[in-house]
Amino acid sequence: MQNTQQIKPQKKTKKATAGKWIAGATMGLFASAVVGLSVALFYSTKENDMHETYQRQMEAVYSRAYYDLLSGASDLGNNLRKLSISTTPTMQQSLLYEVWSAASLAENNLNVFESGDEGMMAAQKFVNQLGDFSHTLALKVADGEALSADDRDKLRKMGDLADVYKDAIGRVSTSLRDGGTFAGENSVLEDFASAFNDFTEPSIEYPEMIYDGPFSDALETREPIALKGEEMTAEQARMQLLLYLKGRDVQNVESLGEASGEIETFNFSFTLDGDSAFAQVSKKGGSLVLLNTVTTSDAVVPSAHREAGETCQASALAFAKTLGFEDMQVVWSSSAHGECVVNLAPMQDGVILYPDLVKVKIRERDSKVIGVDSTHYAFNHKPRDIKSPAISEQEAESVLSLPKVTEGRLALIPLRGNREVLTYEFECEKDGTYFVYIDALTGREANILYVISDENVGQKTA
Amino acid sequence: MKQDYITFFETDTRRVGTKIFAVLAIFVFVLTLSLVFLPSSSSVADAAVLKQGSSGTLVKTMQTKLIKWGYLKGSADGIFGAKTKAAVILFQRRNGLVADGIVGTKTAQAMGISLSGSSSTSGGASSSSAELNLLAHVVYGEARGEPYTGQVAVAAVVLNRVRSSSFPNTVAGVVYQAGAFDCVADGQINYTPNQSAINAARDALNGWDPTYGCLFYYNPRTATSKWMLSRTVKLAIGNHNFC
Repeated sequence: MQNTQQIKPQKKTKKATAGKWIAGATMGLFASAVVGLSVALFYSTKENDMHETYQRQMEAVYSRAYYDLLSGASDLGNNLRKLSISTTPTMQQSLLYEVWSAASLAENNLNVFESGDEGMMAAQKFVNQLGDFSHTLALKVADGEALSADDRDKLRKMGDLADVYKDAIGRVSTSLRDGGTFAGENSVLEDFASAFNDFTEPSIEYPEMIYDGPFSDALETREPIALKGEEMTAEQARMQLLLYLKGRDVQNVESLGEASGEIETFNFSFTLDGDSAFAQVSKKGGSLVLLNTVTTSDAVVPSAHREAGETCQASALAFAKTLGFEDMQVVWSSSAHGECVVNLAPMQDGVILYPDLVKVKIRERDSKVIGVDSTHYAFNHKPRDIKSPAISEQEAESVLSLPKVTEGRLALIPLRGNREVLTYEFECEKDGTYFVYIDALTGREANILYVISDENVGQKTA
Repeated sequence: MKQDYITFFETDTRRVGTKIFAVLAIFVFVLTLSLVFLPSSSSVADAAVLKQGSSGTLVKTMQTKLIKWGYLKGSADGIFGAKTKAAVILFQRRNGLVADGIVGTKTAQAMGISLSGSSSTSGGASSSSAELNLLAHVVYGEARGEPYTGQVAVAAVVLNRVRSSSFPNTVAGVVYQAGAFDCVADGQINYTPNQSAINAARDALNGWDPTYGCLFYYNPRTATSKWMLSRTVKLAIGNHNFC
C-alpha cells in the first residue's frame, strides 16, 4: 500500500508530460496535414490543368486532321470527275498532280487516327494507290503518252470510291456538331474508324490496280521465280546448309521451324565460328536465301569509311559460287562497324542485272562470310530478253552534265513498279559521287543515284 | 491499485497509439508529397554533357572525330583535358555553336555522337541515321527480350509496312501511326536502345527480312484481336508470330 502511494505522484508527472506530448503531436500532425494537403491540392490542380491542356491540344490535332480530310475528300472526287472529261495533256497532267497531292495529304491525315481496323486499312490503301496511280499517270502524260481506255476506266472507278470515302469521313460530322469530341470521354474516334468499314463491303467494287507504280497490286504478291528444283525435307535442307558452310566451324544446328511467307523456307539456328547465326534455306531447291550472324561483341566500333577491301570482295564472290550463283560481279561494296556488305549481280551477255542482287556480308577482320541475302535473286532472276542498245555509249555520254570517272557499262535497272530498263551506267564525280543511268534505247536519263556516306550504315545510294 | 493500473495502461496505450498515428501521418505526408512530386521530377531527364574532366569511350569517340577533322592533334586517349577543350571550342566556333568547350546536345549532334542519358540519341543529321535510330528504338521497345532474328523481323515488319499501300509511307509514319505499336503507347519507345537493337535495325535497313513480306506480328499468349489471330502465321520466332 505504501509502495503504491509512493508511486502515485510519479505517475501524475508522467501523465502531465504525456498530455503535453499528445497536444504537441496533435498540433504538429494537424499542421503537417494542412501543409501536405495544400501542397497535394496545389499540385493536383496543376496536374489537372495540364491534363486538360494536353486533351485540348490532342483535340486540336485530331480536329485539324479531320477537317483537312473532309475538305480534301471533296477535292479528290471533284478532280477525278474533271479528269474524266478532260482531253488535253496539260490539263490532265495538272489535275493528276492535284489528285496526287490531295491523296498524299489525306494519307498523312488518316495516320493521325487509330489504325488496325480493316476498314481504316482499306481507306489507307485507297488514298495511297490513288495518289501513286495519279502520279504514275502524270509521269506517263509528261512523257508524251496518252491515257489509255483502261487508265480512264480505273480513274472512273476510283472516282466512285472517292464518293464512298467522302461519305465515310462525313459520318461523324453530325456528332461533332452536336458537341462530340475526338479526345476525352464519349469520343467519336471509334465511330470515325468504323465508318470506313464501307470499304470492306462486298458491294463495293475495288478495281484491280495494276500499273507501273510502287503500290501496284502486282507487287503485293511476289513469286520466287528463280527457285527451282525438288521440294526438300527439313533434314535435306540442313545437310544442304552444312554443305554451303563446309570448312567453317558450325555447331549446335537446331531447327527453328518454317517460314511460309512469299518464300517458303526451313529455318535453322546454330553457331558459326562461335557467333550465333540464323539461316533460311528454301524448301524449293534448297537455296540459301538468308544467313545472318550476330557478333557477340557489344562494343560500338567506330570505323572509318572505306571501300570494302579486295579480299572481302573475293570472299563474297567465292561464297556466291559455292551457293550456285554463277557469273556474278561486284557492283557495290561498303563498310561500317568492322563489317562490309558486298553487292553482287549476275551478268547476261555483258549486261549487269541489277534487279537480281545478292548481298554478302563479310567480317573484315578475317574476310569470313557472316551474312547472305539472296531474296532479290530469288524473286527476280530469269533469263532476260535484252534488246540491243539503240544508241552508242558515246551518244549516251553526251547526255551527262558531269565528267565521268569510269567507263560506261550496260546495266538492266529496276524502275518504279516492276519495270526494268536497259541503260548505260556512268559513275560521275562533282562534290560527291553520282551514278547516272541513261536509257540505252531512248537516250533519256532513267535514274540518278547519289552516294551518301553515313557513319552508321556505311555508304549507300539514294 | 486496480484503477491506477488501468490508468497507466491507458496512458501507455494512448502513447503507443499516438506514436503509430504520428508515424502513419508522416508516412502519408511523405507519400502524398512523393506522389505529387514524383511525376514531375522523373520527367526531367538530366541531359549528359562532356566537359573538361570527363573521360571514357564517348570522349575517345569524340576525340577520334576531332582528330579526323583536324581540330585536334595527337591521339585519342579518352580523357577530356585542356587540349580537347580547345579543340571543342574551335569546332563549335567553326560550326556556329556556342563556343563554351562543353559538349551538350547541340554540339554532340553536330559531331554525330550521341550522349547517354539524353532522350535524343540521333546521331548525325542525315535521314538514314535518323531512320536507323527510330527503328532501333522500336526494336528495343518492342522486342528487346527476343532472339536477334526476331528483332530484325520486327524492324523488317516496320519497313514492309512503309512499302505497303495499306500503311503510311515513311518510317515515322508507320511507327507513330495511332495504335500501331504498343511501345509508342506505353512509352517504351523512348528507352535508349542497346547495340543488339541498333544492329537489328541496321540489318533490316540493309534489306534483310526474315519474314519475307510480313506486315503484322503478335504475341500469341497475350494477343486478343480475333482478326489478328485468324491470320495465317508465316513465321514464329521467340514470343512473336509474324503474319
